[in-house]
Amino acid sequence: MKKSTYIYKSFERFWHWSQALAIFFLALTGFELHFSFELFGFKNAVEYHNAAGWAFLVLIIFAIFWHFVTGEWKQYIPTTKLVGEQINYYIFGIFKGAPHPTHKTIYNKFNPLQRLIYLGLKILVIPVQVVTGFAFLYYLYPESIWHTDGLEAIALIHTFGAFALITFVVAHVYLTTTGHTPTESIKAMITGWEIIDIDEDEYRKEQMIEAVDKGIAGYYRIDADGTLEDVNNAWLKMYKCNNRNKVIGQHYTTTRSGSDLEILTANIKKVMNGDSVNGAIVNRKCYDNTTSKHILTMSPVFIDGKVVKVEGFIIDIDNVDNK
Amino acid sequence: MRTKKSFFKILMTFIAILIPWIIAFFLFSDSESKYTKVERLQKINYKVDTILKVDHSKFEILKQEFKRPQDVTNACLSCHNQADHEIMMTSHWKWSRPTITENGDTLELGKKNLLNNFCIGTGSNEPRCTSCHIGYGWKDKNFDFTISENIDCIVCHDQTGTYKKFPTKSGMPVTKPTKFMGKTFLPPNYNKIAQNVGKSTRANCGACHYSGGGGNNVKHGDIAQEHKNVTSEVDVHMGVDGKDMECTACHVTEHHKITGQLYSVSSENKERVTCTQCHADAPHEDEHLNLHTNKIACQTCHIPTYAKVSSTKMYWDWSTAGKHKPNGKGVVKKDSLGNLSYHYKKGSFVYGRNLSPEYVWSNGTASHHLVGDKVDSTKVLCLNKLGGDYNDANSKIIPVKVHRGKQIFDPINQTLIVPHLFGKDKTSYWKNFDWDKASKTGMDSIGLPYSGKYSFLETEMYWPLNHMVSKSDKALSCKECHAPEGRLKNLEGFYMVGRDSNSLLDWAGILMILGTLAGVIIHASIRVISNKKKK
Repeated sequence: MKKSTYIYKSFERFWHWSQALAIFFLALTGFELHFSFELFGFKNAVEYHNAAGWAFLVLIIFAIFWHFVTGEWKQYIPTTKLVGEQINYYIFGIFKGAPHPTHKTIYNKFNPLQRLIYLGLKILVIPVQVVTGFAFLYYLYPESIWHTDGLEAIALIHTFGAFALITFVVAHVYLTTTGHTPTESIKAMITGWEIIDIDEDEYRKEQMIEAVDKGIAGYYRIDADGTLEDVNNAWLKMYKCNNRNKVIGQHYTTTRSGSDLEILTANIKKVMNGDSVNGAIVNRKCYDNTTSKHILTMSPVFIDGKVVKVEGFIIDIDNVDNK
Repeated sequence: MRTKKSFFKILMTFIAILIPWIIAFFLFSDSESKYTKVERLQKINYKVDTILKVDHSKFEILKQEFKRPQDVTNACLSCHNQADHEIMMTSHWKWSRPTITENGDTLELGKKNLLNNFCIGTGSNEPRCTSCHIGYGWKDKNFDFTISENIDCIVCHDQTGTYKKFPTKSGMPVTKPTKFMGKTFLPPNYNKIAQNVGKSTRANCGACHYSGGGGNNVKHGDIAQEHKNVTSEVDVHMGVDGKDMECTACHVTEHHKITGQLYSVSSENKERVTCTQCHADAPHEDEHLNLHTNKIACQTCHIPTYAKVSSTKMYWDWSTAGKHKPNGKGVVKKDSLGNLSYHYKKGSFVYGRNLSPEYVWSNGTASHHLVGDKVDSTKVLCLNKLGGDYNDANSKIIPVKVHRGKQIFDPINQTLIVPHLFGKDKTSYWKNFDWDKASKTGMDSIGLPYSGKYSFLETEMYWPLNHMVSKSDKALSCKECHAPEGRLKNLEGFYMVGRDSNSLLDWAGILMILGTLAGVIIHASIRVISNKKKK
């Protein structure tokens, strides 16, 4: 089942685009220094590159924090499952219009290839770039205690990392067009919303909760002692009660009187014993001491195979035109 | 509803993206205003004059009739009665300094055992060379360095500008008007000079030091006659339109001991004059430039060119000397700037002006080729190899003038030869043009053997540049060095951004990106085509 879902949180999008900008700007200024072309001027390029390096470092620290606090780091746990299928899809399936081999959900945003590549960037390429970059800035050879025979190795690794990142960006930008529509993925990274697969059970539960909370049918639940355990807003409205605390914990006998109460007691007894009851029209005793009519259902609540509670819905029929 | 909300979110996202950059920008622009000009010149070390000002014209002893210059010295010493002891310990008097060698011995290192590739050596040529000695009568190796009256006080302390030593009289002034190379030297007015003495000015120092090597700016390249009246453009310290500093402002002097040692004659890293006597050691507003001070000497960036006004000698080939015209006159040639390019007494020259320095690592030490040391005739001989390299924490890159040349050596004994150049005798080269005779006399005078065979060897000498510091806006820019063909292209053993790259890595990287791009284009094309077919 597909549904427009808020998949990329605001920080995530901020982090993604900041990182993109940082990589682009670092590459531009870095390659100006490396290849001696003239864009910002050498001195400016150095200063901009350093400033961008610092900004990137701050961003990385925030991103690490975010990943651990939200548990989003789990999205990057590598897996080899379906890697072959994913590669196969990019090499063959995509041209035949075959379906994507993996399904994006809010708990599994990345396909197995993405997981591997992004994890590689996060724990290998970017840390190496940051460490070599700051070594470039502050490592004074040979005064420093670590021995590296100078900056050459550091410089070459840093240069290679830059090439690797640019290569990644080229492939990454292209692969964003392989979604359901070419611009879907980019739009999603801008707005946060994307049409993705969702879990039907999960979705049903959400909808049911909404139905109970916002619907016009009154809901109630009564435990084995006859105490009202839960009612919803619609129930309170029908009973003309504006304070839920007056209801919860009360015995159900407060809700009826006379023969209506006897019917209720009998019904509860039946349901608790495992029998079913038919829907019935009854009179209720409202909290302002007036009486109104409603129709009612009652079902058992099981825990470990035993009936321990009853619950059901009431629908007001007082204002219903009998004709 | 959603579109409005997501628009707002996009806006917030992009504002948030910008914030760290704005903060970074302000952090950077802030750091530039942290330093003020005052802090850049942190330490002021000028020595205050401790001698009370006296009017020497009031002293009776200076009104006497002086027959000899030595009489002036005796008059000076009658009051300044410790000055001779101070002088006798200095290199200005001894032309040598005690130096601790690598094996721990103390060696008197100086002109008697060091050679250069200009006029080579002093042995047997003393009367000419010692016209720049602060003494009287050093005409041969038997000069007595213990006789106080032979100290020439006034050459350094004359304030009248009239005192001149004659170029060929062992440091003596003339007693009657005498011509030398078109200039007339007059006997000094000793009373006037003695009554007008004072602290040494650049005129006193320059009398010898501007003309090292036998002519203006020949040796140093960064100290020359123009310093008499130099602009701040040429020398920011000595410019008469600016700071107008005297030599002794930096070459701080105590008890006649003048700081500053030249690498042509001194091996140890001591008693040097440094920029940081006055300037902070990391004085730039820009932190990144301050980081450079770890490896780069101040002079490297701040002396972008030298020999800015008059030319300096860059090359001297003695092997071509001796050419005469058919009429017997010696051949003399000049280049387009009027500098000598050939002289029959000295050989071929190359002069240069407004030159970019060469750059070497230096830790303040130098190892010298001493007279008698063996030479390897297959290689260019360096007469004063500067110590230091990239791997040495005390080394910095410094600018140097390298003076190259060809000079006479003995291929059998494998030693450099000190030729007897000057003199009116029968063996001096400048009279007889016979290298064999000149070599024999020269080597005899310093007590070293001469095989009878001579040849010419390529040599080089390093002259670190410290003067003619330019104004700060003329300092080298980044790309002067951080470029593939920059000024430091000959320095090896380290990686420098902008200069160095690994072409294999670069090509691999570029191919990796282009390959990916090509793959992407092919992939996209197939997608487009297969999509159309389906329709």
